[in-house]
Amino acid sequence: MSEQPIDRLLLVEKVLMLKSLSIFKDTPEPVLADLAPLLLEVEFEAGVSIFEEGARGDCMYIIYKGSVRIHKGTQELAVLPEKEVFGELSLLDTESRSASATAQTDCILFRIDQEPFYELVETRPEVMKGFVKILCQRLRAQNARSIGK
Amino acid sequence: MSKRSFWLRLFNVYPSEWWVVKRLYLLLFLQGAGAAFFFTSGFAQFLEKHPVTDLAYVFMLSAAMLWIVGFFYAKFEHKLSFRQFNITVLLFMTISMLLLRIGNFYYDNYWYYYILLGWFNVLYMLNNLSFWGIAATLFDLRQSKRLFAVISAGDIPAKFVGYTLASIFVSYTGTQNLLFLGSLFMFGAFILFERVERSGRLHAAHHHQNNHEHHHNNHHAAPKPLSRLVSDFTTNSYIRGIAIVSVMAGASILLINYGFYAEVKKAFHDDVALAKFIALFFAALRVFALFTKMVFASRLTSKLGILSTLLITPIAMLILVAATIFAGWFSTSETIMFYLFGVIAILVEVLRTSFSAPVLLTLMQPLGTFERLRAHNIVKGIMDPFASLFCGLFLLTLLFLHQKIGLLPISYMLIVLGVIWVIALFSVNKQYVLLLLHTISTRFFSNESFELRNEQLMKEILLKMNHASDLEILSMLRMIISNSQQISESIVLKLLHHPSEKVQLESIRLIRQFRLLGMLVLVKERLNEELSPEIKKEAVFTLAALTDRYDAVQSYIDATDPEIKKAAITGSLVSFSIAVHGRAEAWVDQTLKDHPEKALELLDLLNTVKDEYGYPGYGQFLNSEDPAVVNAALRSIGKAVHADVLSEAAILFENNTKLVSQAFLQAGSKSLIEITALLRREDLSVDKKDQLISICGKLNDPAAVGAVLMPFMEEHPYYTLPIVKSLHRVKYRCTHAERPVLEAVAKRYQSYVVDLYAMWSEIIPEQDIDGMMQRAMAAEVDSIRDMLLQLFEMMYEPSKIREAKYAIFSNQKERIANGLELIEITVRKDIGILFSQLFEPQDIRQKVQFLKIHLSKNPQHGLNHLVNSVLQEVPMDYMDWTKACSLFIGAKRSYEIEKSYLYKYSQVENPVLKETAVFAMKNSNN
Repeated sequence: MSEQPIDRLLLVEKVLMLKSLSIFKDTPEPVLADLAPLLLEVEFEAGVSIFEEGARGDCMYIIYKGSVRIHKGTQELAVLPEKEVFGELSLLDTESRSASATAQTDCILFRIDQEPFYELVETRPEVMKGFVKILCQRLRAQNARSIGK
Repeated sequence: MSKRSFWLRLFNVYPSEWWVVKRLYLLLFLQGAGAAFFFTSGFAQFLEKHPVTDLAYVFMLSAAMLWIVGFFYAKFEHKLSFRQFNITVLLFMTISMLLLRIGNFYYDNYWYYYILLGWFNVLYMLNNLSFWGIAATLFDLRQSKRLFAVISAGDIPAKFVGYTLASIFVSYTGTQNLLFLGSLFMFGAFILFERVERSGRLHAAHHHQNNHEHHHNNHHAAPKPLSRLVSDFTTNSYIRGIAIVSVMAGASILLINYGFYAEVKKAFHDDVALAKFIALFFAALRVFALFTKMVFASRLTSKLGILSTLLITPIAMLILVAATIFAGWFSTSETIMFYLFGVIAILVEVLRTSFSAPVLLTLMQPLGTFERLRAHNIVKGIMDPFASLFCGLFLLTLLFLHQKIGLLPISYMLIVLGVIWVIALFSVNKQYVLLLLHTISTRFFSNESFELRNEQLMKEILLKMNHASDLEILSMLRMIISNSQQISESIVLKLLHHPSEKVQLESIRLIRQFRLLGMLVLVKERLNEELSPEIKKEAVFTLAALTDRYDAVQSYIDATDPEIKKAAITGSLVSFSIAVHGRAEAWVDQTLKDHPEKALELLDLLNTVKDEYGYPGYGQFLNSEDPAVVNAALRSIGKAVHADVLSEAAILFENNTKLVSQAFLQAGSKSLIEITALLRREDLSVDKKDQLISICGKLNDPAAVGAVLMPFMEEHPYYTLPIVKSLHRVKYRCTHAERPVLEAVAKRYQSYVVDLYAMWSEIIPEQDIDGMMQRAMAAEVDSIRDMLLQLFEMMYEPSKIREAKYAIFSNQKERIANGLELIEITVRKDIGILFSQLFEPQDIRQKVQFLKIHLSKNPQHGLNHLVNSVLQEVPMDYMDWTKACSLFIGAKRSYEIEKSYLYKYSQVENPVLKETAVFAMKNSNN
């Protein structure tokens, strides 16, 4: 894995990238513009572990290039393509990871760490508002599914 | 401008509505023409055969017929589907007209003419009910306010053509055969509705608007429709008010017409001549009405508001009738009375058709779909017969008493009706506002208050505490304290010996919080016992804070346990006793003097009591060369800080913005003096000033914050947006004198929105990148909308504005319409109306067409101009994101951008804007 300051995408482009994600599609761009500077570009070669099940989670990832395998041991749970997000709950709490994530192909991911995120939220509560809205939507959808069952 | 858009603009119709509006217009035309033929025929035949006083009997017969048909109408309306029902009504009208003509071949009896004329009223009612029933289900409140006047204007040319044709045809066909022509037009209406319905587009609109409530309502609607209608009339004061207005209007028109027709009858003696006069008179009336309606109605309704518009007709009637009465007193000439009644008949009919009828329907729009239809039925289906019966009885009584019906007694009755009409309108308007509020907010939050000073209740709480868990006890304590702001010693005593450590700890805290000096001896006793470190610390702190004897604390200050020592010193520092407090403060001074290296330790100690004690020597920490000490000192500033300490902290603001901001926040409104001074510094950057303004919004002292920010906003309009946000956050309510200032701000920003829309509509989509500029403009407009709503909350009734805001933020078209309506009612008229026009969900280009008169200048075509306007901050300061988008697009599309702007934005703090400006600079150099 390597971490480096972003030189591939401008912050403006990162905002556009964030906007194109389903998780942020309803978040206004001026709010995403506050979030964009927190994106840390990280690269993983195929087969390299991104995090292990049980490890303490304190960041979320956005897949910019490549795909990521989510698994419990050898049991594969999902293969996430580009523009998918994983570990988003770890942005809010620091519970241990419920599954492992491994780069399926060579990947470029964007990472958002919990601490700077919280710092940003202190000055720009709109960011949290957008995030909470997303979580609420997910919760409602999940509730609806469980009622449907 | 294209032909179509010219008509749309003229009629105040949006493109998406045009298809439905056109069809409705045509439908009304056909129905209206049919009714005009029928009326000309029936009325001429009746007057030819009967004296005009017999009209009183027709009124009474009409009442009975209207009730019967109204009953069946209400019954079938809920039994049949939307399509089935309306088709049935239209066919029924066509066939009934045809049957009456055919019946005339066989019956020429005396009673036939009563039925014929009475049936006209039935047809008129069915026409109204079915048509407006369709229209009311298709449009929301704001659409109906705008469109009903235009659509109902279809009635006027229809009747104009109908009456004109009738006047031409009657010489050839005779009056009876006009009924054939009438039924032909009505059949045309049937064919049109059938076709439109089959196309599915009408149904889609109807279903779309009412998808939820429709099923629900059908379910409940079926049983006992008439009893429901009556119960609505008796229990729903709003619907009752509308009904009274309707019956007053109906009765007035009938009486005016009666007076006029009586004079007409004297002048014409055969049916064809009568029919010609009636037809031509009504045709002329329609031209006048059409002109009024098309030119004034829609705009005047929007400008005047609902109440004033509705008042036009009764007030005009009252004035003219009063003039007639005066004329009757001073002149015996019947000609003057005749002409005056002629004028009243024309004016009231024109005003009623143009203003009253459509706006009265608008009043029903905040009701749910089903209630709306019911209100409609009550007004038309039940009250028209009442009006008719009332007029019949009144005229017969006059006839019985005086053997003739004079215009003067009719005039007196009109005055009475007019006054009741006006009073009822005021009552309806009041209810309308309440109804809008209710419609918007279906969920009410009830803040239950309870009284805990009751002895019995306190005993119950104490009993409950015997068996309650730790958490339950703590929760009960919080409830007691928040409710009564005091606590009884009996409760604290009980808790002090509770087995749970958490509860004991809380009880000791309460002793200090409420300064229960009588219980200090118990705290001392507890300190002699074996205690957990936590409880001991709290007990020492409480003892030091409450005792007035330093020697009682001395041993703890000298303790080797640092935690006990800290508790003793901090407790002493917050003590009310000068002896204890002074000694503790001297100890801090001495320690700092002897051991400057212990600064951080001391700051940690001061930090724990920062809201209760302000150390006077804080400046030493803030001036320290060790940044760790400075930072810790800033973190230790609290509510009890001294003013001079804040002045020293303010000096650090520029270089240590985050911690100084935090210190200002912790100090509360005390820091406003320093914030004001900083805001006035010319060398401080815009970003820093924005941050200071934002801090003001968190200080929870509306009056103090307002005193700082209001004058600053007047002097520096550039900061309006963040200032309004902060003022709103502290729930600031402007003074009477400030309101014009804020209204001027609102108007200025509204004009910005018009300009933004104009520039936005000129963006060429192909030049935009992923629609980013379009979204940026949308975000700008949204941000101004939010700011305007915040301003309104400060200026007008905040609860109403909040309700409107929730409605506007919802995604439901009807709720948004109700919200905008509420804004129009609550805020200054011109501002409210423009707000609605600006933020009504609608196509941007169309909006620009409608708002053209508010444009400060004509927008220039293309993204290039928009990008430059944003960077030049024309007409306003844009969000950093919008500027970043402009720079990015400018760089990508190689637009000519002034170098000074690139440089200016490369110096800002916002990382996105700064980075994009640097990128654009590099691009322009290459």
